[in-house]
Amino acid sequence: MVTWSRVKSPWLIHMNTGSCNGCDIEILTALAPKLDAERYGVKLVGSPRHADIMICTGPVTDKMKIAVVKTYEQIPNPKFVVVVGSCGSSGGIYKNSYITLDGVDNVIPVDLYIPGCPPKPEAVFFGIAMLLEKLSSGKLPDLKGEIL
Amino acid sequence: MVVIFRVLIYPGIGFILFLAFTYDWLYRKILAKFQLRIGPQVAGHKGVLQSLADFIKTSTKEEIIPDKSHKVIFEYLPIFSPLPLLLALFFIPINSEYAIINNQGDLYAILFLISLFAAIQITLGWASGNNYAMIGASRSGLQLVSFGIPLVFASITSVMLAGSFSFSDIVIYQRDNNWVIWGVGFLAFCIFLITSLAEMEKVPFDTPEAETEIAGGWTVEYSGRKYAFIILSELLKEVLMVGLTVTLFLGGPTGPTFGMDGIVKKILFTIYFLLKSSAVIFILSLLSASLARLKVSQITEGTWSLLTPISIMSVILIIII
Amino acid sequence: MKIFIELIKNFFTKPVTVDFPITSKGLNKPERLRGRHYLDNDICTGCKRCYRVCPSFVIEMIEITENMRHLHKNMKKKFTPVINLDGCIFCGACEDVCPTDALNLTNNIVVPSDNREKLKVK
Ligand code: SF4
Ligand code: SF4
Ligand code: SF4
Repeated sequence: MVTWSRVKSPWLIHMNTGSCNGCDIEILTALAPKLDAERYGVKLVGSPRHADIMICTGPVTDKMKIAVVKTYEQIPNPKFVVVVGSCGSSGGIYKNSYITLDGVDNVIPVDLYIPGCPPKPEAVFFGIAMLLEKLSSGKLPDLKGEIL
Repeated sequence: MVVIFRVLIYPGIGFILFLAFTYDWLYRKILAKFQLRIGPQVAGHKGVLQSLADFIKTSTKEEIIPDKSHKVIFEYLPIFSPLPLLLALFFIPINSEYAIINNQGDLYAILFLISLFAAIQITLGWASGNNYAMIGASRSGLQLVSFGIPLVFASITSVMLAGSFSFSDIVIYQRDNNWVIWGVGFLAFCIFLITSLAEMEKVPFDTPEAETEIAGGWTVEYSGRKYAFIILSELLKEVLMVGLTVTLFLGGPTGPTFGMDGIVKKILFTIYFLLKSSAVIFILSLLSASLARLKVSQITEGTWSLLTPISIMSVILIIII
Repeated sequence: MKIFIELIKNFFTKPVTVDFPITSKGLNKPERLRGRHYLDNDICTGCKRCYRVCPSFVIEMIEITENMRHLHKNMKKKFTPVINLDGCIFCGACEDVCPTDALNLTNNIVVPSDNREKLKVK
């Protein structure tokens, strides 16, 4: 029952870890009427204390590192981290820059990568749905085919 | 036995909790409909269990106690926060003209309990020792001050028409005569709806817990079980305000009984209550879908220069008539 | 006042929401959607042009060793590209520059994954 409730009500906190704002807009598009993430109980909350899933966008900049780690620590367990965008996954076009740390996974553990620059809102939505699937059945569905 | 059943299950705590979770689902669903969305869909049939899932999930999460907080208040007050609202809901007649508790001063008690809850909110915000929470708490207090007077004047209207502070008298008056909303009470009804939106901290008046500007307001530091109780008290507040509207202006649970009595009458009355409160929820979500969040200055200006004079005027209108 | 009429009208129309993971009918799917790469090992000559042009440096050229030979029949080929999708910006430059049309961007938008190793196209 606890697992059921966790799967049915994922609350997101969105953190901009130095992105160019492209991915942030796509995340909001995934919440908009066309895809309507509220169908799956997704809710955007303001405080990390209420959240379950942390959505990070962007390569972690030097200044942002402390904030990312702090926000991650403030989320009560169980918590998950989803990285949206190529920057956050590996550094993307900012790879090997003197000012970024090349991806969120150098700072905090990451559960899901959603590559794309920016990923389509469908991909973001699908990523969250996949994470919920992993939560309920224990493993990530291995898909390579067309999802659109 | 009968008393225990009435208090614990129907129409007591059990039924009230059921109402709390269903109303929230209904509110979200109707709001989604207005925005051409579907709303909660996967938790239970068409998402009815969404609020329950939120509640269970939150109550099983880890609890974090910040260093700067006031430990005792932070730890124990959230558990008591739904209590005043639960107590207040015992005054609302749901399945007959008489509620579980009914005496001469019902309205006083309810207004007192609502203010008590606002005081709890402010204390909770203060106890978490966070600046955002402080801002949220002070805004919450500001709303209490601004909307208190229109709320009282709006509810006074039905009291003056029925000639009693007791809810059962108000309901019986509306059963025998017209509902308060038809006629002079309409103005008061509109004001009451707006104030109840403000009391529920829903969209146009959600400055105390604005997510995008002050990160959740006075609830910002609460997590786990404590936040679950805060969610519960918010849901109960929704039921309370809807129930109050139904009782004061829409004739409570009364309706045509077709000469029935006993259990059948009670069930019919419950159905009438649910129908009327669904209508109220429809209007409330229409209001919150059509407006964006107001500024704090706009709220105070609007209440003091618009709502309060209008509510006083509506009371004077009734005295004249 | 106008907004109330609009909202009530919305209430009685069908929602625009697409029941996405179950069906994708009605979603916007552009003509030239750039998604996951497809690399045809038989045509690729290992010329490294895609490697040079990639703006985010995500294409690695790895040397073909003996136990990889069964995948790469062309004996003249010394290197083969590996594309790390986790940093790719799907600009399509590698597709444009490839002289033999070995590298193509299909229109499968990339499937999310929990492991960066799974996001490699060989
Ligand atoms: S992945 Fe692309 S769109 Fe997203 S933050 Fe990075 S540069 Fe911007
Ligand atoms: S994919 Fe095309 S450009 Fe890249 S190495 Fe092969 S042939 Fe050359
Ligand atoms: S589509 Fe990806 S791999 Fe190809 S050139 Fe652009 S960034 Fe590099």
